[in-house]
Amino acid sequence: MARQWEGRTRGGAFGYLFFIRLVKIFGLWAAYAFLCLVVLYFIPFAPKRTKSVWVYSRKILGLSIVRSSLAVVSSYYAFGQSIIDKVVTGMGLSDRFTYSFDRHDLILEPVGKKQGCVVIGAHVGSWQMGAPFFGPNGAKVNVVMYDNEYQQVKDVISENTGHQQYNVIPVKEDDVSFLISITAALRRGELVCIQGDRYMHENRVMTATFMGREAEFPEGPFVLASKMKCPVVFYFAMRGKGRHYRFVFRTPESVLPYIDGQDRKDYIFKAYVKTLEDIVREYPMQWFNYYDFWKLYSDK
Amino acid sequence: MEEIIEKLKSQIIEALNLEDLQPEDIDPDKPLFGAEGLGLDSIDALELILILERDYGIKLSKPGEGKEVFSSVRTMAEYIIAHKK
Repeated sequence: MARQWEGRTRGGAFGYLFFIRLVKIFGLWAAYAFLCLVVLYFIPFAPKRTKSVWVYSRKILGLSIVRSSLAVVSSYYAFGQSIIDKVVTGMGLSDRFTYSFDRHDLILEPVGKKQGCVVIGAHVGSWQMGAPFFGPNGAKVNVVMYDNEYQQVKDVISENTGHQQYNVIPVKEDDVSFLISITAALRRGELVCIQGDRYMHENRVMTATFMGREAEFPEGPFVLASKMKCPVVFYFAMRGKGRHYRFVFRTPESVLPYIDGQDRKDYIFKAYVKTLEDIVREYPMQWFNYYDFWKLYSDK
Repeated sequence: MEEIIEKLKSQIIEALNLEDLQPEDIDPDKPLFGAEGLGLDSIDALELILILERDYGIKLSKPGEGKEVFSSVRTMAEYIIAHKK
């Protein structure tokens, strides 16, 4: 059984298209209401994903059976909500939500100086919610995405939500062109956003204790961040109570002190894992890696 | 050309920590990527891009050039000769 992410996200184009129509015709609350039905459908009909949430709740969060059952519902609902919200934002309706910025200065500085910055996120919350706020500050944003995931949704999103607020750099398996796009964008002083929590190949991973268990992360984003010698910012967009999003920005330096002689890649990685763990502990239901992230059961 | 090829081999070995290899072990005409050649991957490719930038002053900006430039050590050397500043 595959132990890592398979390069595609369930639902894909159809899911996006459906919710775009629902929001356009009936409004945001209708989409949230329908989401409840979708959640009930997904629990039995997406067994692999349901199992991953269950194991995450039981073994990582240490929740009871009753609370884990509720966690499965909460997790799927939060995931669906994140999709609806980013679609609504893409439609130009970002004023439907309220926002707060946590250490916004950390990203504004490299943006203001046009330094080029590697922004590392994760599959938690909904990072796209912050997209409308990068443009007004003068930042050109590039988002690195696996090609499968990108191709699945790009046409549907662009046709239905107007222009994208960021440029997508698709990662292709057999082509290094995306690296030229990345390095060129950084040299132009742009932001390059990349997710630091999913990998496609097991031979290039970094391991760390994350949420109390050993976990593997992709090496690529941290090699990029260390080799390019440009500012590095961790960024997460987390949904709070009500229609509120909190944008969290951290730099490695704001999280951990740098020890002289420490390998920069390892330093950035350690700071990232610590930041991500803080975020996941605060928003445990917004962890959206629906596979055996900690390899707790796939080989058994 | 041959001089740049030899220099590139040493730079690749050093940048990628390929300590088991000697420059003469690298066939300049074999693919850099994939099992048939040197077996490099996309993370290694970043180092190759940085070698061009750092050591030859060449900043690649056209994504489409990637496959051609990084086919082999020889194609890298040819690109360097054509674009070195």
